[in-house]
Formats: sequence, C-alpha cells, structure tokens
Amino acid sequence: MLLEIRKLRKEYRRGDAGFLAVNDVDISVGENDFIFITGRSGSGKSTLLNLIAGLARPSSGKIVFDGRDIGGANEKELAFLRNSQIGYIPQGHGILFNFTVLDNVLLPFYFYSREGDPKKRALSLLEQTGIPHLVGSYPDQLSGGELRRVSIARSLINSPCLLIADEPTGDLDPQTTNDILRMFERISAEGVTIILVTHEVDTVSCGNRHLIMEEGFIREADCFQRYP
Amino acid sequence: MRRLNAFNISLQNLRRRPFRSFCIASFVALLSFVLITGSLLTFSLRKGMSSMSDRLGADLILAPIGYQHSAEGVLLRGEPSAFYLDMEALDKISGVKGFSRTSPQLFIATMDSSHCSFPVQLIGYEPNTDFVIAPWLLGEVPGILAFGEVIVGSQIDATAGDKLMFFSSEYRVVARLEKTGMGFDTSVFFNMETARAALKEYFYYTGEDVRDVERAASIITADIDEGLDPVAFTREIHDALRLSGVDVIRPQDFIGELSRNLNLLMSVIFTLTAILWLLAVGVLTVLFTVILNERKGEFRIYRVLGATVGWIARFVLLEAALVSLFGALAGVFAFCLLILPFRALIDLGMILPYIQPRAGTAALLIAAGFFMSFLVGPLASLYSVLRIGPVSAASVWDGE
Ligand SMILES: Nc1ncnc2c1ncn2[C@@H]1O[C@H](COP(=O)(O)OP(=O)(O)OP(=O)(O)O)[C@@H](O)[C@H]1O
Ligand SMILES: [Mg+2]
Repeated sequence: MLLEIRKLRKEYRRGDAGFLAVNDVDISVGENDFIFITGRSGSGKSTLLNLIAGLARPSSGKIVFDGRDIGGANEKELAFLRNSQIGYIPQGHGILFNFTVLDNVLLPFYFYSREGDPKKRALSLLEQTGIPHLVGSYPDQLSGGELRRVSIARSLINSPCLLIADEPTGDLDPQTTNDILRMFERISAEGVTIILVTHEVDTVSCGNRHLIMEEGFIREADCFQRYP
Repeated sequence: MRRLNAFNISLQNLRRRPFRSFCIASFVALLSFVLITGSLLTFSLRKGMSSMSDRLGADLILAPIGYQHSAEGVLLRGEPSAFYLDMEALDKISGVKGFSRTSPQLFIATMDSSHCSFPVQLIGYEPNTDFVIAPWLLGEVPGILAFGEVIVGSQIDATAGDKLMFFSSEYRVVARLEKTGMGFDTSVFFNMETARAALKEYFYYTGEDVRDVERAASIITADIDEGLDPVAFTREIHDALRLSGVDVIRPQDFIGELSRNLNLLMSVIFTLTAILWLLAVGVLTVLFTVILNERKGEFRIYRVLGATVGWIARFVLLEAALVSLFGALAGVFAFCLLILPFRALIDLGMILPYIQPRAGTAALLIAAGFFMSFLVGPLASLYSVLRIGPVSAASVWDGE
C-alpha cells in the first residue's frame, strides 16, 4: 500500500461549536490506483487532500505514506515530502503569476538542492500537457485550461509517486475536461498513483476506483461506474 | 543556467511588481538622502562650532568702541575691517589689574588682491605674547614667523613658497591653513613686526594720519586672573574703559549664542530625521502587512510546492531587503549627484561656521546613513514575516 488512512478526523471550529470536516475516514490506496473522489461542495474533499499532503494536521487518526506515519513528521519533513514525492494540483490552479510558465514548472525542483538541469524535463512535460508554445509566457496571458495544464506539468517535475488533483477540471468546457482526463490516464499508465477530486460525477470516465464523500464521511461508490 | 534560488525568486517578485517596488524604493531613497545630508550637515556644523570656540580662546576681547561688530565680523566671517585702539586707550588697558595675559592683534583690510576674488583680511599677532592664534597656528607651521613671512587662510590661492604682494611689499608664504570655517579662511597672518611695516604702507595708501604705528593695535585679546568672576570683572572694566573708547567683548557671549542656536538647529535636524526614520519603518510595516494579505494565496502555493514556512519568510525578508537596498543606494546616488558637486557652493553660502568632513569621515557618514535606511526594509517586514506561518498554513483553498 502506498497510502493508508485510518480513522482520520479533522475538526474545525465554526462559531463556538466544532464540526468534523473529515470524519473517520479509512482509505487504502495501492500503487497504480487511480481514484476519483466525488462529493458535494463542502463535503470535506479539499480538507482530506490537505491532510494527505501534510498541509493541515489531522485532529486524530493516522496517515501512513509509503510505510511512514506522517502524523509524526515535522513541518520540514512534510514540506520535503510534498516537494519530492507528492504532486499536488491545488483547487483553482495554484499558479504563481510573477513567474513564467517555465519557471512555474521549474520552481519545485529548485526548492531543494538537486543535481542536473530540470529544463529538459520541464519542456517535455509542457509538451505532454500540450502547451509547449507557452513556455515563456506569463500566467496572466493564459486561459483557465492552460493554467491547469501548467499546474499539472509542475506537479510532475520531481517525478512524484502520488499525484493529488483538487478539481482539476472545474469550470472547464467538456472538450478540455476530456483532454485533461486523458492526460491523467496517461500519467496513471506511467505508474503514478492518482487521487482526483471532483464534484461533477459525470467526469468519472476513467480510473479504477470511485469514492464518495458526504459531510466528512467517505465510502466506496456502490457500483463503480464510468460515465462515457 | 539560472537557478531559481531565494535571491532570484525575490528579485523576480520585485520585478513583476514594478510600481510597488519603485514606490517603496523611492521612499527608502528619500530617507537615505535625508539621513546622509542631515548627518553631514550636522557633523559639519558641529565641527565648525568646535573649531571656532577653540580658536577664539580668549576670555575677553578689547576693541575700539563701536567696532564690536567689526571685530566679530573679522573673526567669524572674515569681513575685512581696519580699526585701531587709541594710544590713550592702550595706556589705560595696560594699567588694568586682573588680566593674566594680554596680546594685541592688528587688522589691515586689503580691498583688492590678485590672488583672490574676495577682499583679504591681514591679521598681525605678537608671537611673544599671543595665546589665541599660535596654539592652532603652530600645529601648521614649523616655528615662529620671521619678518616678511605670512601664513594664509585656506581660501587664499597660494601655497608655501609663493610670494604675495600687499600694497608695495612682497611676502613669502610659509604655510596654508586648513579650513577653519570662520573668518580666518580668508585671512593672512604675519607677526606684529611685519604687520606694522604693512600698516605703514596701508596708511600711506589710504592717506590716513600716520599714527604711532609702533604701538598700534586693533584688538587686545586678554585672559583674566583665575578666581575673578568673569561677568562681574567684565562689567567692571567695561565701565572703567568706556570713557577711553574701549569696548569689552566676551567671545563666550557670541559663541554661546551661536552655539545655542546651532545646537537647537542640530536637535531639530536630528529629531526630524529620527521621526522620519520611525515613520518610514511604521509606514512600510503597514504596507508590508497589507501586501501580505494580498499575497496569502501566493504563499500557500509556495507551501504546496514544498517550501517550508521558513523559506517563504526568507523570500519576504529578502524581498524587503533587496528593495530597501536599491532604495538606499539610490539615495546615496542622489546625494552624490545633487549635493557633492555643490559642496564648494554650500561652503560659501554658509554664514555659519561650517567645516565639511574629510573624505574618510564623509564616507563613514554616508555609509551609516545608507545602512540605517537600508535597515528600514527588513525591520518593517519583520512583523509580516512573523505572520507568514499562520497565513500560509490556512488550509482552505479560496481559489484564485
Ligand atoms: N481552515 C478552516 N477553518 C474552518 N473551517 C474550514 C476550514 N477549512 C475547511 N473548512 C470547512 O470544512 C468544510 C469542508 O471544506 P472543504 O474545503 O474540504 O470542502 P470541499 O469538499 O473541498 O468543497 P468544494 O467542492 O467547494 O471545494 C467546509 O464546510 C469548510 O467551510
Ligand atoms: Mg475543495
């Protein structure tokens, strides 16, 4: 198992009362899994992903990544984990507008000292995501779909084993949504584990598992069904 | 290959916000300009002041009645004057009890000279009794002046070995003084013997009555016996000498007043620059905090990509330091461009004793002003740097 989540809870405060944005979540994610998580807005999907990526601390429960309980990891270790083993495509797109498309893709490489020139890989990732012509552009000149592609290319720069995508097709037209999902299929085929969150059930057109999130709880979909 | 290290990341963030960066840098530049100009001005005034009180080291100055301002003019501003104490007055003065030492000085005004574009004041002093001019002259000159030798003030265009012509005689320059910031800069000094010879020629030229040149004096500098109350004693001899046409001046009075005014001016300059500095830190702190809120999303992205909170704090600190650095440098540059070329003019325009520091001291003051203004950026960003942790750790993605 690449990722094991046990009895995971995240409590937030709203006014005086606390409520569980993530409630007793148990998931086992195997290598090569391509998991869709769907659920209504506010059901706790982003919160769950943030917990997995170490961006938020669980209130209780356990997250074991690659055999290691990351509940005990400190900020530095989590940051390094995020940088080197987890590709995170945040909700929205998470692009830095002060940097060119190429620099956005390169940035995670330079956060830690690494050997080699990442430029070749960055260019080939931009090629794969279909925007090689935008290398030198600044993000404010790009469309929403193009920004998503930059974000996907960037998440792969350090060859992560787990790719987390939060609404990567949100507010995109069906054709572009389809293009992007095909891209995830290819990435999955190359051996990267993918957890993809969406609130549009009809985008679940690939992958091998479908989880449904409701008010913090998660369950496997009754029958896994791909929409054509 | 350009590496995206902290420096390049910060620089890029500044470059992509040119207007914001420019405004902050200009603000720091203004501060650095004011700090440097203010500190140099204060330093020069202070140095001028202390040099002046050093060099007017007499308890009392006795001058002909009505010439008090001329005497001050000669000593402070180098305004040429010629006036002389009456013989009767000199007799009276030598009869006064309570002086521990006295020494005459002789002033001769030349209105034109081929060596300077301004009138020159000739000052004769008595090497055997003098205690005012010699103490600081001697530092400059190898021994006592011989007949026909002169020492020139810093603004007179002659160096040791040159010959100067006054009236119909030639004088040999043995030294040129450093800038004093007072009238002595446009003065020429010789001993009393030389001075009396020059005075004869002066009287010949002006057609004035030839008086007893051998005893002539313009002022008498005097120290009073220890134990005497200077104020009471001054009043006493003031009354005693009045009828003989002698005025008693206490240099302390006009130095004191000048120095009080200068001190006031300097504390105003100091207070204003201190306020400006604090204001700059305050304004930039507020500005950086506002910017921080606007940049929340950006910081979260860094964190998603694997930067630690410490890293992001470093970017922000570095950005502030860089923009501050550019500003402070621009301030130094502006100072060099706007003030330095006109230092000679400022010198002349100053009616106050004003001595510009040597290059080394000036460089030190400039460096200090530069550093203090540079410090403003990093200091002002401290508050927002401390807040980056909580801000970037908020886990909800508001989208962008
Ligand atoms: N930092 C926080 N503090 C307080 N409440 C929070 C915080 N983060 C999330 N929540 C709450 O937790 C719940 C789940 O939020 P989350 O962002 O995980 O929803 P989501 O499923 O991703 O929704 P969407 O589809 O709209 O993105 C929401 O009710 C949200 O208001
Ligand atoms: Mg969400």
